[in-house]
Amino acid sequence: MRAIFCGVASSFLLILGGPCWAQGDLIFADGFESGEVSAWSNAVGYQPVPIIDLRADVNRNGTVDLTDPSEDQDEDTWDSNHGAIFLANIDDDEGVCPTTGTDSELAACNDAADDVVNGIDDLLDLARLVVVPWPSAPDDAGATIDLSLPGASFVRLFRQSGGSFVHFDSSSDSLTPDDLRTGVEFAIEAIDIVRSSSVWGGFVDVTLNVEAGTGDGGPLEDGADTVRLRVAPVIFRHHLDEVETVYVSAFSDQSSIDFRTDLAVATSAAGITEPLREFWDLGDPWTQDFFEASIMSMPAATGKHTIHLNYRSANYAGGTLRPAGRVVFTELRGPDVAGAVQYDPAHDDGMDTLNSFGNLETIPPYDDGRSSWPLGRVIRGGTPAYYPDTSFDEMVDAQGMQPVIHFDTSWLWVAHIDETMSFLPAASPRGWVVLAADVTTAWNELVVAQTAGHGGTPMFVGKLDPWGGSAEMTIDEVLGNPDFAAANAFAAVEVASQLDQLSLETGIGPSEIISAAFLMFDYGGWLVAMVPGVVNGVVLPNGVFAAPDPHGPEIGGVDLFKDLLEQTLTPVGFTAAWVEDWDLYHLGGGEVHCGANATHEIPEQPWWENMP
Amino acid sequence: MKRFLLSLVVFLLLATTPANADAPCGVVLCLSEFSADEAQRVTDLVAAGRAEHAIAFEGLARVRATVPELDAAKHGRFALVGPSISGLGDGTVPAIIERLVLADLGPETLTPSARAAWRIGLLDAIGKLRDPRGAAVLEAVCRSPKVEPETLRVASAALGRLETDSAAEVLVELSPEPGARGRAVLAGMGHCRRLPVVRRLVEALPEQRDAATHRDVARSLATAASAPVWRAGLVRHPKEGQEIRSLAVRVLFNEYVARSDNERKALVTALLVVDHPAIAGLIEQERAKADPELSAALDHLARRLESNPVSRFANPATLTHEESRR
Repeated sequence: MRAIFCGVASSFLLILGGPCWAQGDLIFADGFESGEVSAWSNAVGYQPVPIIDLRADVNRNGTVDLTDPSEDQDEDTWDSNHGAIFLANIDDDEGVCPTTGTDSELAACNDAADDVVNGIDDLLDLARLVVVPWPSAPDDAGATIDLSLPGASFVRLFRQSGGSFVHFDSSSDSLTPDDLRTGVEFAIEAIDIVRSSSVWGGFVDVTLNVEAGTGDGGPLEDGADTVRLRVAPVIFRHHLDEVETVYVSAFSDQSSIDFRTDLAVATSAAGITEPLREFWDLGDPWTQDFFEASIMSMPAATGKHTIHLNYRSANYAGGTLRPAGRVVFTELRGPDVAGAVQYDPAHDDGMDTLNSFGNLETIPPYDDGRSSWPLGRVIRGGTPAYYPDTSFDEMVDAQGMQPVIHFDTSWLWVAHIDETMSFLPAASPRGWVVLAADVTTAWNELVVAQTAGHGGTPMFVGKLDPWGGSAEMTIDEVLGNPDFAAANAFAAVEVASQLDQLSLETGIGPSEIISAAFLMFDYGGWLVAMVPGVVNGVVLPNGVFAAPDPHGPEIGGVDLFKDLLEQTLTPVGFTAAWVEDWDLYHLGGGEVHCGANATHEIPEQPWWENMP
Repeated sequence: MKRFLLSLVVFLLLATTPANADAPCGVVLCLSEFSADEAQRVTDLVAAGRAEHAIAFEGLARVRATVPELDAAKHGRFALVGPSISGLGDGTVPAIIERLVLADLGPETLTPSARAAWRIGLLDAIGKLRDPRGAAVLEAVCRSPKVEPETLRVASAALGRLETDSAAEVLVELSPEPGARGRAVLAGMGHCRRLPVVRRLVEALPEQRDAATHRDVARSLATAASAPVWRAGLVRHPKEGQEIRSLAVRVLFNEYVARSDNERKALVTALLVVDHPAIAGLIEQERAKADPELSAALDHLARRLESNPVSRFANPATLTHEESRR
């Protein structure tokens, strides 16, 4: 608050640190240093002065408190301990956005696209600002609201009027003397998320400018009061937050039925009661790739109010966006669920696979002693020469919460980070472990089996290629093939390099890296899973890991690769739920994780209490 | 006579296909790019293959028919086409050759990404089959100036996998071509584990100024000198192994010393894949004269070598079950 002081008694109260509200014009709230107050008091004597006080939820308790000094303190600054927060109101609370139309039309529709409040639920998405009443405001007083640039271009204000909220155009609308006397409640929304910190970093200063008019003793001092707000950053999800809903593309053929059946068994074993949410008719089986779930939250009376945000993938090649990504607008968008897309049409088509969201994972929270990332960090495959859409990564970085770390995945045919690593919750000081592709163990296990006389044992028994050829090969055939030997040497070293980088970034040690044993092969100079990549699974609640059935060689009735993964999962409290993905995903270069997607529970601790 | 008639029929059929009105063409080359004798041999090979292994040709036709669909639903850089091609049996090589140079649906029926996927799939598959019947066609593909670099790289690898003197000679001959073509050959030729090829790669590596090409050449060299391949004896000329691996480790290490940190990542990878016992000594020798920056880089390399997973790749004679697991 910036107001004018008016009496010795009030000065005393202020020195005591108590709020000075509701005592007519003679009292004002906190916000002045006592010396400042006294000086002003001496200067103006007992002249009644304006109340110029704009308030927001600076103390983040979910309400705008007119009597709580912490609501007013340092309100024009914002840091990890205080500062008001508002949301990008880009959901569709009334479910009125179209589900057909061009990509641009779909993306353009949301609750912030118009200048009306879209129903009662929409109002919950808007943060509040309050102009504190100045009951004795003279008839010639008035006020305006200023929005700082560049935020002004990204926010919209509504004012309460006659029981509803109407658009307040700060460039032309103003407050009347009656408004000042009764006080005014505003609601604020961002019309978009932060996309680039060079354009807008998410902050806006809202300033109440009061022309105080004329009091009984002459002209009153004009004044202003500024509150800084920050739009909620978009937070990507990590595996320590439990999965609530699993999504999957659905087709009528047997491979899809088998996949969905096994995945449903896995989710059921994990205690997820909600059935798989199936996307029919998308024509794109790679459910992990075409959208990514995230959240954005602000304080609310109930603790926090959250809008889920599903990103459409930045897969833009051949002049078009990946069609299946429209699902974020056509099927997922709704009340408290938003959709968004960010892409650069000039991004090289040859790197487009990196824009799939199988190439976006999140390291769970960590603190390596040098830096703390309580919301984790986003990881993606990318090198200086082969990288995902830079505008998307810039957007992730601009949230200021989980800046992207790039790992070299350029050696992989698909080049997605989920092909080589995943993260499992664990009862350890760190709270998680890394599940990493381990071709060395897989290779060595085959050698052991061969040495024991099982070289003729086939793997991939009964599995066919799509054209009817047998996929079977024996252990001897694998170990006797120079291409497999060379490819897996590269795979072993490349994964080791990734883990070396991960260790440098997070401080993880060897005991926190557990093995997902499978083999890769060289295809056209890049590597891809030959044995179904058991690292590429879905982490589910209650210690269930939905992994692709590796169809490894069975020796003594035990699938060698299943056995290896089970042995690695058991010590960290996980069990494998095997999912048949050979036909639908493995043959296309992907696995279970590539064919599924998930919404996670909203974490109890909000981001503003958990900032890096 | 039967084979001749079949060849004639195949040739005439292909020659009159509307999409290939001037000459029989495949997805990579046209038959007209071969000498008359070679064209006849290719035609004969395909005709014989079709007569004896029609099922492979039919299988490949089915694969081809699905390429647009695979491309539309692709999960990586391109659709994954090849793994299934190589499973079509004994007739696979002639069937692939037919598609490469004799007959394929017109290129206009495929999008550029589908066409690339189909070419890569065919060339990768024929290369892994290591069938000498593919040599002439692969050489022609590598020599053709109209073949784009991506395809040329895979074709060079395919030709190299034959590990013949002739294949090595062709690759060495083509590798100095300027620009993207030469770089593509260098990147693919490491699959030819032969001394002339490795000598050429050793010569080429220090010449590379472009970081991406330098990485590709280092990788190619590591492919040629890959420790698990040589230790397991999965090569056609095992006597060349010692020199190949020695040459490779020395030039890779020298480059590691000479290059910047940005380029060292690829060299670490290559050195770990080669996993040569001389590397520890090379590090120690260099350490004595290293400045602080290089000294740190050597420390990094030494640390990575200590935990090199390739050094744990199995020696079947001594590995126990427990040792195989982490």
